Amino acid sequence: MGYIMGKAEGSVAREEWHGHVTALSVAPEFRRLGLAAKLMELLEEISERKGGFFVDLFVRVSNQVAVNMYKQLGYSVYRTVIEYYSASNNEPDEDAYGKFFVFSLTLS
Amino acid sequence: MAELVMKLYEAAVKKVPNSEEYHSHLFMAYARVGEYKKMQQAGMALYKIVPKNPYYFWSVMSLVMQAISAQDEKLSKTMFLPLAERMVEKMVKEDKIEAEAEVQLYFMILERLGKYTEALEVVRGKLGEKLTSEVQSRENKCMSLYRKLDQWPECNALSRKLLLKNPDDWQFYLSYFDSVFHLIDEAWSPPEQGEHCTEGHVDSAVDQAIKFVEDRIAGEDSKDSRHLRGPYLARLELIKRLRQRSSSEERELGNPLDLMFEYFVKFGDKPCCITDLRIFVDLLEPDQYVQFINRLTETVPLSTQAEDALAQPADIKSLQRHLCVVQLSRLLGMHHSLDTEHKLHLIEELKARYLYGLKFGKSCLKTELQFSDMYCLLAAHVLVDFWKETGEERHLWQCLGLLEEGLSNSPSNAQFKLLLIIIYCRLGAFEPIVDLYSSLDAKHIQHDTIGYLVTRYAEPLGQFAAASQSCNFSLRFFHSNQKDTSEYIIQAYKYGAFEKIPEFIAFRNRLNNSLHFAQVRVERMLLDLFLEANILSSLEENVRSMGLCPEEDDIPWKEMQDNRDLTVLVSWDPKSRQLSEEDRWLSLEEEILWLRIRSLTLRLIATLATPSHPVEPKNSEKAAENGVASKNDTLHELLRQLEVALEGGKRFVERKVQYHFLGPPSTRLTSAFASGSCQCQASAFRLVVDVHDLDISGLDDTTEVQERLGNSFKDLIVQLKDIRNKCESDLFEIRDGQNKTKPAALENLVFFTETVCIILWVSSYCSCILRPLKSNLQKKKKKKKDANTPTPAIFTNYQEYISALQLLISEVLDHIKGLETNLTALKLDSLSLEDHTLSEAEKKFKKMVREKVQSSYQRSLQEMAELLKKRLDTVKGLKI
Repeated sequence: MGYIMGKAEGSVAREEWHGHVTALSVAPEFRRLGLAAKLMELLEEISERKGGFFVDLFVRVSNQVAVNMYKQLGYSVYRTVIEYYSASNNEPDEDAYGKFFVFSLTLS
Repeated sequence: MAELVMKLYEAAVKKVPNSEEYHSHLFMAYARVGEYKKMQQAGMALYKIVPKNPYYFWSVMSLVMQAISAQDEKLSKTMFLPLAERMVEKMVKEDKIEAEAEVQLYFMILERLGKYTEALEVVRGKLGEKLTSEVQSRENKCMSLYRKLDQWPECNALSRKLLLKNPDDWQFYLSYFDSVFHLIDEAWSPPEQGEHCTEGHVDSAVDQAIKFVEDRIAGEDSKDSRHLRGPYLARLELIKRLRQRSSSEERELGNPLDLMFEYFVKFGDKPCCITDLRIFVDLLEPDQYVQFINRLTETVPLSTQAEDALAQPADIKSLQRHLCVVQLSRLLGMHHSLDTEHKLHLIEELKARYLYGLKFGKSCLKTELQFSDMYCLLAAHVLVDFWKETGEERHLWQCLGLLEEGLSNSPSNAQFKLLLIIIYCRLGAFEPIVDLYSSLDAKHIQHDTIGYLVTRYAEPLGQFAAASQSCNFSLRFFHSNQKDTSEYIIQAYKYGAFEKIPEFIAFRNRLNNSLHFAQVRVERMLLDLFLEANILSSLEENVRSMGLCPEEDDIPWKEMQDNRDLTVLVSWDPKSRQLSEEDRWLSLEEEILWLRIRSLTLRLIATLATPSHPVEPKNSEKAAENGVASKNDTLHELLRQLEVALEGGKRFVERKVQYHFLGPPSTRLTSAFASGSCQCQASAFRLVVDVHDLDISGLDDTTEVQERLGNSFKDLIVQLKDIRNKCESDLFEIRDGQNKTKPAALENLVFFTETVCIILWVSSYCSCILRPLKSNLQKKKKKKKDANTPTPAIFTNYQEYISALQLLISEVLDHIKGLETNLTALKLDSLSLEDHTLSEAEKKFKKMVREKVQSSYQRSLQEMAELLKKRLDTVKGLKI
């Protein structure tokens, strides 16, 4: 149906310890059920439990659908970056090169 | 390479025994190759230098890995695991447990030891509080332990609690129901006083389960916010289970038809409604189907714009509802029971709805699917049904045009692409698949799960270049798997993700043992040989550079894993037409049979690659020493295995197994036998035995062998001609304005080409043996000035055979040229054909599809002609 993967990272001392959404995906047949929101909620819960200060994620600027969804969930654009992800052989992955929004949500 | 790194760091720690860094690297070096015992020691050595928990637990994990990989299970249970357990217990006693991963590791050990009660204590106790990284990690672990311990009261109580918290968590409805029925069967009843169990309240009777479900539903009904699907589906699930137990209480929950109707009313506008309801259609009686569909249809708001026009939905939600009803009616078999006229009508209706629905998706991005796409796919499925029933190819062509049109409006629709791939291949056209598969952007594990759709057809349809490429995609993934997995495992140690380590290893094994991997390995080597051996480089060079050893069988037959995703294509066919377990088994059986034949063929070809042998054949005793004799043994053994494999293949073919259209593709077994190529190739290999005899024993004592050989040569030509005859027909015709293909003719041409290659290699071996025999004989004759002794017939037989081969191959080349000419002529012809009943779009896609297929045929013919021409050129070198 769908999955979410995340990690906790950042310096505790600099109050940068936070949850990060690595990947989020919902299969087309299971859209419009609020699953993405539910999955994000679970990740936010875990991040909070682990003492994170906020949650952040990268979204391609051109991915309108995702951008709108995160905005609706209360996330806001923190910065815009040019990034590339590296493939397993540590070389830049062509497909993941581009302009990304960094969205973030402060945890209570 | 990995061994060198190990040696490097072993030396380093000897030199600098207190270096934490060197010891860490050493540990990782061992981890890369899975030297578990050494890892265990390295971990403890590290801990002694710096008493950090991770190092200690690396050692513990290494013990667990020794347990998992031990051949002797008893050793795992009595030595490795208990030792690991004691190591962890020590830390627990000293209150030194820090990380979540350490608790997970402790849990893993106890579970593997079967110490479920102890594991439960850990999870439910203080240590369990550390399990935070996965949602409901503790609850899930508890649940699985309760099941293993048959503690159904606890299982039920926990499920109940979790469902109260989240009534949408389906897995807990399943465990709730499982446990209730276990408790009923055990005649369990709660104690008079006090808690039902440690987890709380238990439901142990049907009426309690019914009440529980109905309360959840009431909870949803009363909400203003989004209603969860779980409770409503749980009600249907409960009915299903009660029915399985022939329990009359199912009636208390309601009538399935009404309940499913209500579900549709609530959730019918969601795409998941069909996948939800299809699980429960068996709850309906066949005589209820029509009533059910009618009731659903009545609730879908459709309106007509004009007289006689089709009533259409006014918005996306209504469209989705209507789509769901159509999918359900197909699922209930209502499409299949239509007569021809109504089927045609249905197809037109679905097409019209598809086109109408495009207006809702005008603002969709290229990466999104159109809302009405499924109408298009449904129409395609009905067209395929039609083709299956009538055998009339025009339905498949119409289907292709429709799918291409759909794809042009919805470039990300994978289902369109997958179905197009299947149909094009059915018609013998592989060329369009290259772009289609590439646009699917299949990555990583998908090469294993859906790669078969492509590799099954590339080479068999004569597209050798594309075949090489598609094999490469898969092979690159499988080979990188080994390397990548080692890195994942290292990362897992670094970050303490111990639970993942056995998972990674199991994953790696699953890929190493993959059926698809074995197939692609074998086919890639065969392909390389077909294309290059004795053309650019000798057979010997090719075999050597591949590292091919005829004595070795590197295919893991016993551990073979079928990782194919056979249900990747969506289907709303009724159950009787769906993929069954039996289909899966039959398909796997077939694939393994064919793989065995191909693998043996490859190894037999490798036996033909002889290094230069002694010229003096008379030294039979000397020749019988290791080198030559064992080669002979290998040849005999492989031939014997091939006979057995062919026998197995023949028996399978006789069963005439057929799969559903969207089911697994058949292997080439049936067509290979039908073409005669299997038998012909076997004959060619058998011939080698006799030539080998000739090699060992010379001309004098081998009259029988020579006679047999002479006949074998003649017979081989007959068999090859037989295959040629099956390639006779035209690939593509246009009759009465309709396209007619004959993909079998193309497949047989490929079989012919493959067989020719093998025969030529066998012949090359023959010529290597016969040429020196002939020249020796001629020398002897010259010396003895003896012109009277007759030249053994074998030489003439062989020469005639080579000439016949040459002639046959050039005849086939001419035939291919003829086929190419016919195709080109057709192209020009068809430009003038116009069908006035079609729309502009339909005409455009009809033309596109025909051109794609024709172009593909031309390419296949071209590639085969090129290869056969090169092979023909090598024939003159075979004359002696």
